[in-house]
Amino acid sequence: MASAGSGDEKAAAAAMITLISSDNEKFEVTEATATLSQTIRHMIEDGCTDGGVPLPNVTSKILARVIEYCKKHATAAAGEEGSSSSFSDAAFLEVDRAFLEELEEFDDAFLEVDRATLFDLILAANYLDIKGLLNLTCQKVADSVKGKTPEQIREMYNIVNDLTPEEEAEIRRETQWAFE
Amino acid sequence: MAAAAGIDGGILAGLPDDILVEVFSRVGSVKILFRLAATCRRWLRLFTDPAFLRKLYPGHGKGLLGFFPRQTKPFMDYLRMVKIRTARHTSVSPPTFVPAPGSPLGSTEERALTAFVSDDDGTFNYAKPLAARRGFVLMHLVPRSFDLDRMTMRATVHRLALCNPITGDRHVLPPLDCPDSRVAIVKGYAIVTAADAGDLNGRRSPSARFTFSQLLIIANRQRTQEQYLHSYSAATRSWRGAPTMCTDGWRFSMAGQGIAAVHRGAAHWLCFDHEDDHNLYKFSADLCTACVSPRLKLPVRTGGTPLLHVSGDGKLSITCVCAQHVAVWTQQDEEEGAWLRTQQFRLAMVMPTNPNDPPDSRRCFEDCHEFDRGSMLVVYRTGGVFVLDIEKEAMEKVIDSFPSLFTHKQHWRCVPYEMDLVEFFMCHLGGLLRRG
Repeated sequence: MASAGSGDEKAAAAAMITLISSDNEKFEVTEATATLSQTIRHMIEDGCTDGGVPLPNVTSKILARVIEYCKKHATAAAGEEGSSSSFSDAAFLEVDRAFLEELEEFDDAFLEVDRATLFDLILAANYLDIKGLLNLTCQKVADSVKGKTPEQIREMYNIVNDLTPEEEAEIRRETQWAFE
Repeated sequence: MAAAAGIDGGILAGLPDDILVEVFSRVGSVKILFRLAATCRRWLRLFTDPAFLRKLYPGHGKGLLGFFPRQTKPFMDYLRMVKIRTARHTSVSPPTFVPAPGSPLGSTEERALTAFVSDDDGTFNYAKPLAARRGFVLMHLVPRSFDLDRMTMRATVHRLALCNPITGDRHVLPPLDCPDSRVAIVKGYAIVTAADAGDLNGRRSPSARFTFSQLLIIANRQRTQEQYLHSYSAATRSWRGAPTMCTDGWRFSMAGQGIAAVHRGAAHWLCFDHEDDHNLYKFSADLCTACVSPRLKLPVRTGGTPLLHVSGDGKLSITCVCAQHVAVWTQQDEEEGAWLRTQQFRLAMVMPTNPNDPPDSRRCFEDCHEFDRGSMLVVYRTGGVFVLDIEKEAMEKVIDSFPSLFTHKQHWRCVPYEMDLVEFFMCHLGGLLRRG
């Protein structure tokens, strides 16, 4: 599917798509940026993007961040495509590495958000089906619980402990090794 | 769920299941997942829901987690290793683990055992994996130090340890002294769980299936070639009583790489008789008393590599995988000597062929290993790994061609590492939710 579309990439580059957030703010983005979202890619393929794409699950604040992510990664993807044909191997590797480093820095900085925003980003990435963003944000949450006790995890994420003391004791007895 | 939401950070507990799968599957350790399960009722429910767990481990259908490659030349560089070893006390050369494709324990890149089991003191340096069962791997350790008097006699002391890469558990056994043996070689093993032995003081716990209880080993004494059974109890952390003589190593050799089939309170081994036309014999060790039953000649004639195992319907069976067909014998009605050939079928799958392999390697398969629930893992020298479902008489490819790490090297074999993680979660956490 992706390779079939890349033929008319140049023609599509100019095409703009309008995304409309839940609070009715409009965002103009290139098709290359928008199609990082599989959900939007399918809408474009089905030809139902005229008059803008309403995204009732995503607020303008979150959508702005998502677009920021997509723009950066769409450029990176385009850069990779362009460079693979025109650079020599050594030069290509050099450029490639610089790109990856820059992208990694961008991702790290991108994740410097509060927890509520992080969860909104996860929900948006899931809804819009943006694999890279979903991976990035979920990994951040997954990393945050590593090496933590259940108490610390509850505290960190305001999880109410609704297990009875007996149940909790039994879990610990059955899986003692997990708590050492 | 409603109780947990509300404040900003509380949203994590309220995220839809599909997204929780995305987060949990990136945590990368079973240990942390168990801690998450212990935080609240909703998550505990998720971790006891087989459908959710299967989504968490999508590539883990057959339960194969990977392999521990091992060198088979006995004590090849033993002296040299011990010398190096005495100079180093930190973890420098632990055994490696090669995850199967889609394994929850990593991608196909080789990983050190120490990525799963802590080994700051270097206990597992140069250790050799011998066998694995229910998540436990039995390791033959190289002594940390040696005295010259002893070494002139070569190794007579076995140092063994079990570790569990899933739980990070390690259980180092006290040294086992094998008297009057010049080179003590381990010929047989049985890793016994609490469920096999029926212990835990009568308390039937579902997790008993994954609780280490006993280790039985059969060690060869070089001078007499007698093979003795030694029994270790995890509860007392000691080797029990005097070893029991079980076979004559001149005449008999162990089949199935010496790995026992554990069935109805006993460990059963299969051996060949060199003197009498390669007849098959079985002997058993009672798990309660460590008594060895007399060797019994079986009315089973077979070529190829017979493997003793427990069938899908819980009977003791012998399966023999040959180049083109499979034959299965099953013990009848718990009668020791009554065995019948119950199945014989052609393998629909022809040998895996890799054009780059030397022609003679194509036909030979490397090893058969017992797999859970009446299935069997067949590893070919070409690197193809298959699961043979004996009941369905079907062979399914799980790995097309495995890195030639051990398949092309003469003295390398592999210990498959297998555990059904969905069952592991269910056994530990299922049934813990009391209400709603």
